[in-house]
Amino acid sequence: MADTMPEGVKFYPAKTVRDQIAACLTAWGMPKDHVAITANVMVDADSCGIDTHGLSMITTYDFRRRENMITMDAEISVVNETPVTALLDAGGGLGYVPSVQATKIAIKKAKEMGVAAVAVRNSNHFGATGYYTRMMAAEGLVGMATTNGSGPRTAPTFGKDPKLSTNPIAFTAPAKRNAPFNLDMATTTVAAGKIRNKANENQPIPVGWANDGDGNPTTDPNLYFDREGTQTPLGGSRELGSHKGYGLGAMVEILSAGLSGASLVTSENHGTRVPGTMEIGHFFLAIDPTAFRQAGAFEDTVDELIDHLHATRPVDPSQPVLVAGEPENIIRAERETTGIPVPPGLRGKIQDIAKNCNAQFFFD
Amino acid sequence: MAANSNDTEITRYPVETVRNQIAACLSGFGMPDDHVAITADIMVDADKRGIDTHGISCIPNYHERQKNNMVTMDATITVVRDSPVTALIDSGGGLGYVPAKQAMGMAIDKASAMGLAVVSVRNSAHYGAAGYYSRMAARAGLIGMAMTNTSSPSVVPTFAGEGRLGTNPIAFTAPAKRHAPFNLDMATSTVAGGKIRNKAVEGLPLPPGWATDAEGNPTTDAAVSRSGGFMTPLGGLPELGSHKGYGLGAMVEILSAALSDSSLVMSENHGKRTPGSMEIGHFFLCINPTVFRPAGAFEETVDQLIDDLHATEPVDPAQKVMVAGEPEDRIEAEREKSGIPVPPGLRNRIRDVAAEAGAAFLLD
Repeated sequence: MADTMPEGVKFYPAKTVRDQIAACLTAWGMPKDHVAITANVMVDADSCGIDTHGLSMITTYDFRRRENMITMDAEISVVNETPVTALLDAGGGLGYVPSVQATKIAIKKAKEMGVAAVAVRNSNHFGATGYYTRMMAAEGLVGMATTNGSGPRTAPTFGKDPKLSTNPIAFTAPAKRNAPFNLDMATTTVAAGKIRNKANENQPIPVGWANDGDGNPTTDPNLYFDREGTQTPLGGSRELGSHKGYGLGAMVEILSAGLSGASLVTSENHGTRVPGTMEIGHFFLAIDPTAFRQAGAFEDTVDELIDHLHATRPVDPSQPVLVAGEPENIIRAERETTGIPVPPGLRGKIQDIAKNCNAQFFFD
Repeated sequence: MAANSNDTEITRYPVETVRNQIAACLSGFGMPDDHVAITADIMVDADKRGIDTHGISCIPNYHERQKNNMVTMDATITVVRDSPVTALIDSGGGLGYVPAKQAMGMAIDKASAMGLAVVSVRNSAHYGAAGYYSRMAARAGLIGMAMTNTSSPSVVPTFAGEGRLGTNPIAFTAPAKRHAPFNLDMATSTVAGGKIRNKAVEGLPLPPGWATDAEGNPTTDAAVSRSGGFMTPLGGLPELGSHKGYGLGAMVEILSAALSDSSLVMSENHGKRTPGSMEIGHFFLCINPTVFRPAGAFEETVDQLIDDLHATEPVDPAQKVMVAGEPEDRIEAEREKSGIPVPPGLRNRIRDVAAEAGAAFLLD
């Protein structure tokens, strides 16, 4: 992180960043109880280094609410429910509150029945997918979550046009001695933010990250941001298995949009066809390991797996083998001391947004 | 047996002949008739769909394992735990096909009744192509998922200098109406081991990212398939996101082995510590879309997604954008007419196995 940190970055305590997020959301008309939940989930992303999914999203949400793409005072409703499933309608609001609610429903049902799935429709961006699966792991459950996205950026294998979004998958499994195994990944080769960083620094991108408008591999990050290019599915090229990343992205689209009745990212006017909503869909799955094994036995095996992976001989002794979730845990521990870095460009944008909506500005 | 022209050429045999050859060998290995019928059907289905690594070509391997007392051919399958939405099955050390089909059958019944089900299998062995089981779910109008861990740690984690995970496949099938089901069946490694072997046979170099040498360094030397190299996780290289493929592989290990109490692939003496069993685990998930949406609506959305993906402008007009499962569907249509190709090396090995097991040889 440090090597890409621009000059003039200032560090703020997590509470200050949280309060800044909350002040903006409140000024936009989000009810207090929704603000509290949303700001907590957003600042959690900043706290563990997922800087693309926390405070920085305020600028995107400001644009969307002004374009009437989000309903700030949305009403969330349970459309249908069984002992092991539920469908929620997010009412066009941001995805955080309905997703926390969906996750809580999944946790309750899975604890009672052994397994549960909850789908959410008529929603919006919900931040970092792994937040919700970590909620499940904190309750002793195996968690899985997916969401579709707002705009097509990723070209299918052999394709020229973007058709799918970054369509993330999160999976968390509880352990005992170790932190949970926590996978939270876009099904693209890299996050768009990594391409943006290279563009900002005028550096080429590795072959396989993005294609130009003709579908050919490019090392020019600007070709992607000028909207002529596309991101690649995980794998990067057909030769390296991009059809698998493409398949996983389509799987996420089916689970998130197909099951909930949300809009497909591939469809015309996706995200803009109904005022006040982006019609995004999410999917949450919880499994109670004690439906299969004695209490604690599953966690012992996950610990054993993590220990084995840690004990793997590394190629380079200075770069040990990590397990999913550890990079974020390391940053979380670090930022608890240092605070959350806010680069000057973002701080300036937040200042403008706060001024325009009469919210307090905390980053002086 | 006298040599004939078959010894140097690929010969095609009717599906029924290949099936009967598989069945004859399994019977020769001591598998009971009812298990033979199910196992041979699933194995020949892989051959029919072009998944040549998971059909009749497995017979010599199974014969080795039977002779080394690593699989129990007359295994007793037991349901260890059973709830309205979950079950745990013990394979009794037998090949995975029969218990896996039983497990998916139970998951289908439970999900049809309750909306959702997870069935876990332990004490099992190789079960062929994971997609067979998820396609069972789609035929019943359900979303199906299947995973398994494997017999050997052939895949190297990101930054690691030794193999720790298997090819750990994920299969996901979603039913459509106008189209064949969306059917993803993928190893979480960059490529299957067979592809590396094929390059070695032809004396060709490997594309960078497919494999590492025995120390974990990237290599293009196809001889690694003999000299102790490893396969890479999907992504291929750290800068192309191999940590995501590694994370997916670990997720499959957790769902397959940890949930069922099977042996972890990287643990000492994995597959060898209990006579008569390889202690492999499988995971099956079924979701009934009609608990979320009116009957037929989900399938229409999947059709829409497939239409949108097919309509993607291709980079090369001669290579259209496909959807997961289509390459296999095409081969199946072709092989139903033209038969299943059996290369001479494999045929000779089957002849030897048949002779040793006292089974009829049907591929003359």
